[in-house]
Amino acid sequence: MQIRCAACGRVVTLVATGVLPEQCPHCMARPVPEKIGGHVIERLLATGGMGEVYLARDEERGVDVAVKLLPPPITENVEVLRERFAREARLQSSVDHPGVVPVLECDVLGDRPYLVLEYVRGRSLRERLADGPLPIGEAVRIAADVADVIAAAHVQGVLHRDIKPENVLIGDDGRVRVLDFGIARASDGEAPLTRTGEIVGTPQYMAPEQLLDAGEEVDERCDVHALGVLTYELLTGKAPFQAANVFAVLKLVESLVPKPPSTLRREVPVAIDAAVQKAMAKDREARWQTAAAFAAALRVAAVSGPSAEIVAGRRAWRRRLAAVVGVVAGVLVVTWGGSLWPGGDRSPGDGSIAFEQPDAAERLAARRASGRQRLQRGEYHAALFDLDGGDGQTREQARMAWLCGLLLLPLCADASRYWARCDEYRRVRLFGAAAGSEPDEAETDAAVLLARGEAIAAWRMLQPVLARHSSERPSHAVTLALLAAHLACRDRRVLRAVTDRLAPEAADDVVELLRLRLLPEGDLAARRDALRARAARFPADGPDRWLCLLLAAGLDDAMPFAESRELAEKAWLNGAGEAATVWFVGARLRTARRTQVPLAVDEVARHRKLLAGAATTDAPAVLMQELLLEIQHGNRNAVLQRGCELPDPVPPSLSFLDSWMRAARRRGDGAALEVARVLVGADVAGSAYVTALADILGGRSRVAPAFVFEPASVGEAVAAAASNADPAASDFLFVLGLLAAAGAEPVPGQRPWSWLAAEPQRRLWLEEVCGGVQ
Amino acid sequence: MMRSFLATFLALLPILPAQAGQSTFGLARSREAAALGRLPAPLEVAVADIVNYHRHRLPLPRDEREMMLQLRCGNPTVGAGGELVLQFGYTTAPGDDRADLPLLNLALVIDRSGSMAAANKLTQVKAALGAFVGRLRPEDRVALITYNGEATVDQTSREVGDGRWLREAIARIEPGGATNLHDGLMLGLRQVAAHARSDINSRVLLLTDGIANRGETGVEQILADATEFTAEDIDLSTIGVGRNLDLGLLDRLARGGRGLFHYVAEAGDINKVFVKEHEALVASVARRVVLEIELPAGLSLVRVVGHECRPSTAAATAIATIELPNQNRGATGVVMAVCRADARDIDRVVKVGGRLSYEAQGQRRSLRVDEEVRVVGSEQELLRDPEVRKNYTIAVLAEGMHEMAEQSACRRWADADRALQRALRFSRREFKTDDDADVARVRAMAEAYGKTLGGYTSRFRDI
Repeated sequence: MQIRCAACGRVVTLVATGVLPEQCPHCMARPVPEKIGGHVIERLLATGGMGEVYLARDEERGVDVAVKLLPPPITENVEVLRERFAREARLQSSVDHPGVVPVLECDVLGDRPYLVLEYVRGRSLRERLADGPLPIGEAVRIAADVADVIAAAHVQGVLHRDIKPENVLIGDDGRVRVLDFGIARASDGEAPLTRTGEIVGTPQYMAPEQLLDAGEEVDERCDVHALGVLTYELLTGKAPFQAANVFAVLKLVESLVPKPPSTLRREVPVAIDAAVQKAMAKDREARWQTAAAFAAALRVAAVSGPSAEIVAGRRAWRRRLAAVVGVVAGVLVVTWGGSLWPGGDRSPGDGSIAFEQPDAAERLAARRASGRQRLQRGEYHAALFDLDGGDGQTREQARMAWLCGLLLLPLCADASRYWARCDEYRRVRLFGAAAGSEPDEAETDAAVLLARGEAIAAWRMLQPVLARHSSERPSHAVTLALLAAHLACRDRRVLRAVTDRLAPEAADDVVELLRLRLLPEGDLAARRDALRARAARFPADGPDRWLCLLLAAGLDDAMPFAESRELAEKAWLNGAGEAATVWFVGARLRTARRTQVPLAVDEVARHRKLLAGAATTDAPAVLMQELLLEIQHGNRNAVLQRGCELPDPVPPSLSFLDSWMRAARRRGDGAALEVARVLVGADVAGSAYVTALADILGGRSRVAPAFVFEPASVGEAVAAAASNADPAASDFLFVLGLLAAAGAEPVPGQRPWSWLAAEPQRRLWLEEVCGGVQ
Repeated sequence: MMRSFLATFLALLPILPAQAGQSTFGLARSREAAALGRLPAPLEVAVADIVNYHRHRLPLPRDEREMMLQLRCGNPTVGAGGELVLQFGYTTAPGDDRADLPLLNLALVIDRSGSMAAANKLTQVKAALGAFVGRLRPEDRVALITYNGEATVDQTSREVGDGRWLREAIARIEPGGATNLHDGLMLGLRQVAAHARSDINSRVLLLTDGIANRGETGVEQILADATEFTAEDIDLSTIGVGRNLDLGLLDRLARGGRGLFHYVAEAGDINKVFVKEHEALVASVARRVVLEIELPAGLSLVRVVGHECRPSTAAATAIATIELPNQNRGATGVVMAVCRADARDIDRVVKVGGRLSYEAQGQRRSLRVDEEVRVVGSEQELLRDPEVRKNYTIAVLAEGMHEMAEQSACRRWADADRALQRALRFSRREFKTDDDADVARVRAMAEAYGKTLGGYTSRFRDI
């Protein structure tokens, strides 16, 4: 990012936005004045072809403002520039619409003119588009709102001439603001300030007649064309006229009829296709004649189109906005030499030969890229489909999407771990074969263990990785370690310790999810709201939005059956697979248990029908039987006693625990059995291993009695276990320590924590999770 | 209702035989899936195979030519900004006289894994091979390779002669063991390569009923190894028997080897592939067949139905190049392309064209066609030519089924249903009755899928 030194005029390159250098490296003076026109400069917001934009404080009024500082003139004299800037201010001020940012002041600093604008907190559409195409409903709403603003400008006789995503800002309040009337001009009465042969505007968004810049040829319909291009980009994430260089772009603008948006994104309704295509017509007579007509056409198309999702999408356009305003006044001025178009003799068909069909490799690459973007955005279920079937890094990304989408997400809503058992087919495909086959890749194997629910084993495996973890370590391993720690241990203090220590290196969305899990236990409303806010970020035509809402429904005591079913249906139709079925039934059961109001008889029958139709490969028969048993159980008390968790089956490779317990039982080792007994009694029922232990201990009932956890009794039991020479016992000791740590305040120096501290690796763990050992 | 519907549609099939010389995989596999009431995998709906399953009404080659190319437009008048459907039809000379065919250099690579013993598969294969040998000429060369966990050359490549040696070797094949497809295929390719010449027809026929599980099993590696041979003058066709197949591998092997992938659901049909399609398997009259589509300025290519195509570099006006499989005697086929007219360019007449080039009798030959198209300002009907209407409707149905299969694989039932219903709506608009048996057959298949899909889309609605 570069700014121009206010003292010497030379370019100063900044390390990061917002940090303003004290001295110019060329002239040693201050490169940015402390004040511009009485406004105290705070930080740089953006730079672009049209100058620099600073956040400043208007001390008099006590409000923030944006100061736009133009570069010093190169080819024009100061007066012309000053005139242009003053005109921008005048034109912008003449448009009375809330979508136009008001100009507060206009003046010159040395040889550099500047504008003072109202500061709008929000995000530019360009920044929004970095996350991929917008949900259709939202794209249409924004496009129509921008068209409204432009229509208001046209009414005042002002053309914008440079509509593009950089110049549209979505404020934190959700409103659209159109910026940069820098090259706007009145549609009549004012002479153009550009010289002949100069293109003012951004070629990708310009209308063919604007490229020719034939004076009076340029009218409102140029802006309509740009609005069409903008809408196209919002819908597809791709500008219709893209080429390697500016001249190629110019040629495309003139000759290429872009494919309808629906060819790039199938769910775009035909009516929207037609509206956008008409706006981008080469012949301006064939376009919408006014921006208002285009806005109206878009709105009609959005509600009359075949996709019901559009309507839903409209309601859900709000997103968390970053606190940086991207005011980039990007005006690309290209001087074109007539020699590039020989003799100016261009037949209309030149260059119109287009090849639109991507080959299989291109389609696959596009799908993978979309999958990676979705993974970053937290659309894990949608990402899985795009990343599925790949190998190498793509497979690792698919695994991460699976772990986050199917295992972590339900846990964050405090749902049971068995909810993850609804995608067995893919789990086996993604994780099935690799266990142990790649011994050098601890992360890979840890992922396999995690997918099986063997969080403790995964955590053990990742310990060496964490022991040497530094910023150079791939965040993949750190994310996995975070997941493992969270799944292995349900104590919030421990989780917080791990999350806080490791968060900076892990994926943002994963950390955000894990923090969701740290919300107070009883605070269902906060969790529900967080999930709903999360859902609103996702498109209506994918599974993630509906699955998040389904999770939230499980936390809502008042949610009627019909509404939950509607969410499940939308999830199911949009690609959620059996997760829609299992999570729906699970959510209804949770609500029933929590409110202690049994499900109605007819609802039970409906669930049975639903489960009977579920694919057994995805939701194994055992799970279905468990669920059916739950439903059929008329005895609410029994259900309540069992708690909200169903036991996970003991994973076959959980050898260190399983074999230890089997050996103890064979030997009739009373001490070991006692440890297990105490653990079963301990109120750490969240761990599947505790229930597994109970199972191993001679078919004991899985009902967890209301034992009170007593560190002392655990300590004694640990001592008994430790006196056993069986090497597997030391592994068990570790598990014990973990569980004990999860259940009670750590008291360094006291058992069982002192046992942990005795070994270097476990000491490290203790330091990680408990914040130090005395 | 569903049962009677399927019964009607399946009953149609015997009286509508596939034409010889075209891959039977796409329609056979998707037909089977529809009849079984399950949704197909995307690969099982091979769009080009479905479009070319029936015999097209096209003129035969003239003047001793091996092939003929014809171009028809859906409507020779197109509205500005509107779409234009082009049909490139090609045929090969039928000719029953086999004397003029180039000599054969063939390797039969036969799976003898344990699973071949089931359902009498190996017995059927042996019977079919026996009949097949009877149709070879004494001077043709054949090698016999069989494989289970290991691959063996049962008979090295030699002239057929009276064929007794070959029949005896076939009779000795016994099933048992695993499936080392890679080694078997490589032995076959090497046997053929040792005798390959440009003036003879060198081909490997690979038959399998399972998935490679011994030796090299990586699909990409198998393909890469096979390509070393098929890039030269050796062709490769594959025959898959039963339902437990690596469809992707067999399909890609056949495409890479310019051959055909035959899919046989039931062992009883093996005979059909070997005997009835004998000609198709061995009598290739044109190889390395390439179609280039040429469009004038003002028309852009939107898509070519069912084919991968790449931008052409050959001529200034050529837009896309499509590689077609080797063409056998008596085959007919069409390639459907969709173009769009420039919205600004009206009231003019332009020429669209195509060039088909192929190798025959050691020489590269080419054919050219073009048609005039008028671009007008008003909106025009898309399909006026009855032949193009029929084939394009079948293509739209096939594409709809393919899209449905892709979306279903991702469990996006809403999108899958939308794609299928869109195609069905189109077909009902163009063909209001089932009088055209070819359209009716494909539509019945799409409707059967629609019913199966309905079970998915209504799951929550029904409770």
